[in-house]
Amino acid sequence: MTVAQEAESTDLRPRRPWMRAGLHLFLLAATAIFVFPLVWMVLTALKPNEQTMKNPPEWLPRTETATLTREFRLRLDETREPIADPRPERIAVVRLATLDAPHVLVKGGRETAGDRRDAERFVDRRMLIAAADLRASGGAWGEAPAAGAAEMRFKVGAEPEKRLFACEVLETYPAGWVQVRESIPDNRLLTKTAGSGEDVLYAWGVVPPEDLRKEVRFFWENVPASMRKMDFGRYLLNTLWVAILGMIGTTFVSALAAYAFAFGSFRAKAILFGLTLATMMVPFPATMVPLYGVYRELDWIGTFKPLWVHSWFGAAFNIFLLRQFFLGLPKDLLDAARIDGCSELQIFFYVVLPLSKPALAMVALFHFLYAWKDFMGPLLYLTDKGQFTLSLGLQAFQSQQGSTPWHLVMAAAAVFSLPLVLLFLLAIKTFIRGVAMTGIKG
Amino acid sequence: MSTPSAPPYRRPPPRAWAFVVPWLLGLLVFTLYPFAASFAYSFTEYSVLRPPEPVGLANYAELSGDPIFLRALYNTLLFAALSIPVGVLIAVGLAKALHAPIRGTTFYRAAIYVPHLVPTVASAILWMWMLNPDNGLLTSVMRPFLDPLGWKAPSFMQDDRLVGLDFKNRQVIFGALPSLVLLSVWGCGQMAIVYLAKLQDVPQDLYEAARLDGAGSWDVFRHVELPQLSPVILFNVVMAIIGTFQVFAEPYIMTGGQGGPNYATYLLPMFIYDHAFDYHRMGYACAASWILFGLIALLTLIAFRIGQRRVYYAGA
Repeated sequence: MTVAQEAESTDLRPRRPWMRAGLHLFLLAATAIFVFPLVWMVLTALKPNEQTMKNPPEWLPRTETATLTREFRLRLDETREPIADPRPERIAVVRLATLDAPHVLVKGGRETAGDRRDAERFVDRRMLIAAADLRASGGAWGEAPAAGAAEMRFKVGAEPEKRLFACEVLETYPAGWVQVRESIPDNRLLTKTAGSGEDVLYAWGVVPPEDLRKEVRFFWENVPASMRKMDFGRYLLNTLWVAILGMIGTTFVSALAAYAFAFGSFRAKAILFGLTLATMMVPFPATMVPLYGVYRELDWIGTFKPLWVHSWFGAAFNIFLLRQFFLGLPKDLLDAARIDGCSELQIFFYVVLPLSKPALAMVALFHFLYAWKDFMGPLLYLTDKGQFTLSLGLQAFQSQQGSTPWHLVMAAAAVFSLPLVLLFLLAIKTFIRGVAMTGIKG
Repeated sequence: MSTPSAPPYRRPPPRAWAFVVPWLLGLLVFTLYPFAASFAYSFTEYSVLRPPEPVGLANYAELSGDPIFLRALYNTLLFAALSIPVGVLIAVGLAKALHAPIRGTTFYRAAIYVPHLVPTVASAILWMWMLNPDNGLLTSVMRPFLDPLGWKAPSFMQDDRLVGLDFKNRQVIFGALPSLVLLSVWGCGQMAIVYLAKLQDVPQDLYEAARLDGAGSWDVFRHVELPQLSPVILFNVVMAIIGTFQVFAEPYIMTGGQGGPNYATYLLPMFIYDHAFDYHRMGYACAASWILFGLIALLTLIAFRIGQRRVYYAGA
């Protein structure tokens, strides 16, 4: 054993390879458990709605496509019994869209139109509009045949040979139903151009099973669809406003107070610092009610102010952390500055702050995280939907509908979490150091 | 400071005191006043519409007989008693594993920390989805194992029981409160990172001395690393107590603000929130919040007491 190896072995490096393998195995399993829910969130976000309901679940977002080359067979009732068809064919729900202007068939939109939950029924009942009728009624829903179990044949368009198009199967029903999502022949999805919830079209059609093609496809369009639907952009701006305002305030004012507690000399310094530490133990629910009263007196309820103004008076934990950091700075520098005739404010700005960038960055970062994640504050103080932060907006988005469009909610949740994960990956050192510091020195 | 020969010590003029003024103002307005006021309100009947009316100890007396309050109290204590020890154990285990000098620890560290970054609303919604009893991921994963035995998968957030086996209905029980614990433990990677940082600070000569004494790796962990870790564990347990007693968003979101089923996930902060802002019984809510605070103070004190006996402070 060389000297180097000997030295290493004091820090208990696993000497046997199987031990190392075992550790890796353990850590890999832990990684899988900790990360998998997030992977599942992203996978769900990129699936079509119908696929999210599959049981057993399917891991990868996928689509089944088929080329419809024939006349359609349509049903107009609401039940999903397969059409009594002599041929053992599969029945499909086909979503159609305008291929070219004169021959729009049906309008609908189920999974993207959460606020029109009855869209499916709506569509089922009035699926059929003769192309000419629709043309006449200016592209609106048009006259639909009355509900009933009538079976109806129609041709897709005036020139059938030009109306060939590909479809994606959304779901296979037990009885042999297949739901198909339509796309145009070159495999571009028409739903993209049609826009979600408005111009998406449904009809029932027939797809021979041998025509089905399964392939993995990530439904990236869920992301913009969900962001539009939950008004993500506006909530993002609200969140950023509150988070950044508070971040600047708390970092600066906490640093000021920390400086006073670290280097100042005044009566009752120790007592005030002790009081500062003690307030960390006061739970928010214990102050919530009178605090709400204070904000109501100030007429701040329904504004952003309760969410950021208090940060401009500092925060106990930040003061504590910064004070610990300041105490580690070389005192000679401060004394030298003082001898050179600097005022305390000048020392603070020109000596202490520049030397404390890592600690300040950490405090700023942690406040940003806190403000980004905060749910209870916005829930208490924001009354108007237009002012919601992302936390509150996402919660409202999830709970507003009777049956949640999970793929869209997951897409929004993923986009909501992503900036924090990116921040973490970019500033992994600051994070780890910060977490260790808040947890140990504290 | 002053030696006999030196001129008499004169107190220097106060320095930098003004820097602390904004903080003190904030402390007064945003913490101390509300804190004191909530104590005062707790002896009143106070709805938003009318000024508070003093009622003496009536609120506290009512709380002591309010079954919903007692349920919330019980839930909160149980939630803390489950989630804190489980979280600490897993975090220490992970920290110990990450402390071994193997490749890829940066990756592992990042991976176990990431769940902590996910905003509460997003993680609550994600776990609602994962724990969905119809086609949630966990149910679907368990089904292939349970179906052949004729057993049913747990119904998670829709079951007011805890953990166990229901032989009558042939169902595995994993109820709503344990589900909340699961969600909370999922975020314990943060604590693991803290413990790991402390383990990395353990002086090398301690290891060396232990090795010379012929200590095995368990002895080293038990008698070197754990004592070094103990003050950090204590501190984190105290922080966890303070945090756990304030858990509001997770049950609120996962149960649609109900704390159900059958009050199984109704925690004290939700009780306070409901009474203050839904039932407009501010005084009653304040009394409950003071019991919450008293509980935190008491448990923190107990933790420190235990700490005094059990925790090793280097140089102390």
